[in-house]
Amino acid sequence: MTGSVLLTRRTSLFVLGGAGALALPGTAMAKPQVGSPAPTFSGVGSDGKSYKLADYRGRTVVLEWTNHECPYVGKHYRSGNMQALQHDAAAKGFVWLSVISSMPDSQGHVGAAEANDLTKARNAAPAAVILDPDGVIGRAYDARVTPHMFIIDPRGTLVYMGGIDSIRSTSLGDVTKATPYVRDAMQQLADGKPVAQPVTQAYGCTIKYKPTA
Amino acid sequence: MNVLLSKVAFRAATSLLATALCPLAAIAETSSAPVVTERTRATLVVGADAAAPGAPIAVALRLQLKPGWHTYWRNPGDSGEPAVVTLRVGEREYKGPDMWPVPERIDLAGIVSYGYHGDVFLPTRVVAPAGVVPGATLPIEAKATWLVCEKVCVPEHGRFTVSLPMAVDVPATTSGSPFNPEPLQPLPAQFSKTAGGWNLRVPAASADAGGAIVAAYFFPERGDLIDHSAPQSLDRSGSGIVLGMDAAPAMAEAPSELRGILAITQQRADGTRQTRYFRIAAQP
Repeated sequence: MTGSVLLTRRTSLFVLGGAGALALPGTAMAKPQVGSPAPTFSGVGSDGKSYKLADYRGRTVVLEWTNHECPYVGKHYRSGNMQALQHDAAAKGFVWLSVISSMPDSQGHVGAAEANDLTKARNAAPAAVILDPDGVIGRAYDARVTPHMFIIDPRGTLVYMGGIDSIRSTSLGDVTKATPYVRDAMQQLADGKPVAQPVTQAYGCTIKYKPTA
Repeated sequence: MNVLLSKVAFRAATSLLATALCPLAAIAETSSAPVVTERTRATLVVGADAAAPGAPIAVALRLQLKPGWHTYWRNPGDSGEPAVVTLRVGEREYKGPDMWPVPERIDLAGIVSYGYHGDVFLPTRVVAPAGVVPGATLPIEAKATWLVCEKVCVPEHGRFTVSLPMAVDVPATTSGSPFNPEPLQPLPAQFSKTAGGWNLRVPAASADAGGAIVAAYFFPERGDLIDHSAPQSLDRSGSGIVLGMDAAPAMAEAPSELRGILAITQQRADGTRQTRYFRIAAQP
């Protein structure tokens, strides 16, 4: 009940604020919901190409919000967990897009060349790294932390959102102890099954969004 | 240092008059050697210069953070993680912290975390072994991990030993200092599940003393119940107040009890405002 009152309030803000309100923090837009169409987006990759969600109809898409200087991201790259998931996604025919929403001059912000160097240096295997310094894609997905993970099925429906795994820590040793939510979800989707735990709690570093006032 | 100390005294005074009457400088302190980083000076501290065998002791991880840096509450909100302390006292091991001071709401471009700036005391209650002889020294050992964030986040850790003299006739540790915070006053409340989240209802009789309520905010102990970054709505149209909270994305099953800290800001007759903090264990 309260939720709908708040929504109404937000909606009116949105209408009154016009285009400027598009950038209101997270809550200004309808929050993405598992089972509903995933927010559409288009963005520019570190390879200079443009990427649109609509281009991937018929394929499963995994979105990974990242910030290479965040210790939670570091845990999953230094352990090799993230790269393994990316290779696993590619082997399953899924499209893995890493998204960087850090604003300029903030932690994790990189230009195209540095993003490509990071991919190479870490032996990462995303299909593309999308640069989102204005936070438009991040806000649309209500991504809050790095890493924050989303999976979209071939029909464009959001089928997973949340954490990469179950243990909120920066310790490498916890990777093998955790329930691997994203790994499990990808396997279930590859097997043609519904995702057993479609919404989990994300953990990590706050995404360094551009202020929206 | 003086600035930090007076900030602590001020914070404690907001919830406890006794602290305001008893300057912090008067509280005895036994401290470990510090672990110092570019961001943090960390120590293990006891708010006493001795303890009696068999007596309870509050042992705090003290994090003195450089301006701009913060660390986290037991429920860190939408990012970060709480400090973890493992204490060894004689043969016993304790997990802490178990007494968390009232957190701040930290909003970074719309993403909300709960935590602390400045001079942070995170105490754990332990018991001095009964068999230790008065006159001897009790070593209290701890290992701790904590996360500090400013524009970047850095995990930090340390090992500490504080040596506490054992004595007879030691006055019981007074509560109400940052080393051993006074429990918050409880406020009766009920909660219910709504279509989009949770309502927390506080009856008029308990909520209204102290002036008209102009703002309220609930810090839930559990991290999987509410959307921390969403605004909380305050409804004062009925008797008492109803605080509406959006559900966490991964909406959990209703707990048997909704526990947390309620901040209530009231406007006094003279127009000034004060915020008070209450312990909530709301029933369905």
